[in-house]
Amino acid sequence: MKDDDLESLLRGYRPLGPPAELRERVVAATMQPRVWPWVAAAAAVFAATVLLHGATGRLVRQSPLAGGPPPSQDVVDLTDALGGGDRARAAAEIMVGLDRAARDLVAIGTSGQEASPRD
Amino acid sequence: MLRPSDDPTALAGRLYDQYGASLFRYAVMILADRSAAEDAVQQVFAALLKRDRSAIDNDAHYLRRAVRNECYSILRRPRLVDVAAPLLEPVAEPERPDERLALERAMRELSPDQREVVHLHAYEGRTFQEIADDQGESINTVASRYRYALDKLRKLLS
Repeated sequence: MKDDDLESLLRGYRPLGPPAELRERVVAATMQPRVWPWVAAAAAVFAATVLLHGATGRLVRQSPLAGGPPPSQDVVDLTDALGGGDRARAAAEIMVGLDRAARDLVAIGTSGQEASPRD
Repeated sequence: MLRPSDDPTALAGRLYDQYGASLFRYAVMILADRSAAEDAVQQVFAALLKRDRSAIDNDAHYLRRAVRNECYSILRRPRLVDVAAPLLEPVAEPERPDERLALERAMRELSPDQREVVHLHAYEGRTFQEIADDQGESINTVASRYRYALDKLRKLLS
C-alpha cells in the first residue's frame, strides 16, 4: 500500500464526534461553582444553629430555675446517709416522696374517721 | 477572546458550540478512548472557567493545548479502556465495517503521539510546520513521527 492510498483510506474516516449529552455535562460543570455559595451558607446556618443550641443549653443549666426547687432537708439527710451522689439523691427523693404520700394517706384516713360519727 | 465578565454558563455553551466537537475528536485520537475523551473535554471546560480568563487571548489555541495536556495527564494514570468502543466514523456512506474495524485496531496500536500527528495532519490538514510550532518541536521530529505512524499502519493493514 502506497502512502497516497493509505492517506486516502485514513481520510475516508474521521474520529467520532462527541455524544449529545456532553454539552449538557460541560455546561452543568460550569454551574457547580454557583451552587457552592448556597452550600456554604447552609453550612454556616447549621453551624450557627448548633452553637446557639449549645449556648442556650449552658444558660439553662446555669439558671437557678433550671434544677427546680432546692431539695428538702429530709432529702439532703437521706442522701448523705445513702453515701451521697446523684444515685443516692434520686433514691432519697423517691423515698421521701413515698413517705410524704404515706403520711398524706394517713392524714386523709384520720380525717375521714373523725367525720364518720356525724353521719 | 474570553471576557472575564461573561456569564460562565453562557460562555461554556458558546465555546463548546464553537470548539467542542473538534476538541473531542482530538482527544479521542490521542486517548483512543471515547469515555476518557469526554472526561478530558469536560475537565478542560470546568478548569477554564475557574481561572483568570483575561489572560487568555486565543480561545482555540488555549483550549487545544489544555485538552492535549489533559489527555497526556490521563494517559499517565492507570485506567481501563474499552477497546471494543468505536473510534472512527466514515466521512461518506456507505460504511464498510470491516475496513473501519481494521483501521481502528491499527490506530490503537500506534502510540498516542503518533495518533496525534496522524489526526492533526491527515484529518485536520495541518502542516508539519504548524504542528511543530504548536508543540514546540522541530519539523523533522514531527515529520518522522508521522512517517513512522504511516509505516506501522501500513504493516498492520496489509
